[in-house]
Amino acid sequence: MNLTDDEGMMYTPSLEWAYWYMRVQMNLRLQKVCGAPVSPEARVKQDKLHNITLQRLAVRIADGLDPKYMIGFNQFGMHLFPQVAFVWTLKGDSEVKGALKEDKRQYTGDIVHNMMGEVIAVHSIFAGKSQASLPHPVVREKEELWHFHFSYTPNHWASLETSINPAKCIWQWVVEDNTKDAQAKGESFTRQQAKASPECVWLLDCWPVNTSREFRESVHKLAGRQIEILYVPAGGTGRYQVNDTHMHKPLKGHAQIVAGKWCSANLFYLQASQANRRFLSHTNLQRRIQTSTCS
Amino acid sequence: MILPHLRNMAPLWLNIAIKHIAKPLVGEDRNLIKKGWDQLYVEPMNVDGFLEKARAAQVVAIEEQSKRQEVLKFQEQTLWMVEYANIDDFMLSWEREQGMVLAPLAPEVVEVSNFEKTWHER
Repeated sequence: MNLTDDEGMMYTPSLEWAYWYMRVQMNLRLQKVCGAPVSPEARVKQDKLHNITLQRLAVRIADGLDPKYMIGFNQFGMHLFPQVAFVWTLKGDSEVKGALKEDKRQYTGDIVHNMMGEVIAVHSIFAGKSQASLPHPVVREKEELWHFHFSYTPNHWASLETSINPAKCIWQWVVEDNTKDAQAKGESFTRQQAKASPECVWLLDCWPVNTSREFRESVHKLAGRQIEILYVPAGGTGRYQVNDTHMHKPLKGHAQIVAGKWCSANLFYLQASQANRRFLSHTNLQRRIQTSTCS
Repeated sequence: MILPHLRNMAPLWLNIAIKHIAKPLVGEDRNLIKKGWDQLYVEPMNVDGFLEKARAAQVVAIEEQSKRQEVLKFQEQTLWMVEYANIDDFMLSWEREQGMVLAPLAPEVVEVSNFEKTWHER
């Protein structure tokens, strides 16, 4: 039915009415956009590529590749102070505020794991221009952080260089682990043999650095054909990459809980005024950090 | 909060979180990481007949790859021909690629070949 302009204006619902109708009658809610839908065509392509990866892996494992040398890793962003975004409050409170000011400073983490569920190495990248931007050497050399590797970039983002360094660490782990296994079986290896025998598969996402020629060449220089790189289909990490599907969310959630506990234990200090903070000596704080109940 | 202190605490917190996800799940003999691998990779690979299909697909893929390489090699050679329209130059570069030692060209031949070139190519 075509209405004249005047009549059309008369029957056009107001914004308030439209809001009420969508909220109350249609039961819709405003939600934060967190991605775009993958088209059915793209999904089919991703499935096909994932199937090719599965086929390759199945053949490699059937031909004798040890599943513990099937390695995956991916970067994630982590707040320096991971704060829980939820607090207990009374129903209807209009202004919900956290105990501390929101801190958005971040670093990049990268957990390297294998098909047996072992964490092989952890790489963390801090923002800065020198070694001074890394955690204190006392912290870095802690025994419990033996599998941590630290590096820095101006904006804490991963780069080609920060990707090659973990690659070396992973390969070193593969060689050492293979040597240990051989020694346990009573075999003796020369250094050359130890490097020449192991084989591994890396499962990476299609981040441009991972697919770059420089990265692949540097991996090739490291171990020739002994490292095979397979890629998770582009745009499909949310469905096919263990880091995205199973690890990152619980990891961040637990880090928030741990940081929250530390915060509760040190709330007196954190809420103290600047003058009081000066009063509390630096060494005292260091002792608090090192002996805090975060374990 | 003071940045250096946060930097010092961050790896410790991360390490505790990693230990948490690396612990075996309640009622299962695997942790969250292994569960992920199992669900996304191991279980689809263990379907009956998957390995046979994978091997057959690999044979086809290898054949296709070798065919593709042959075509690429041919195209590369043909492109060289186009690039080096002068057959002598083509042979020269081709022989260089093959690692052959060439006899020095007679100066007369070079002179004559120069006549055949256009002015801007000399």
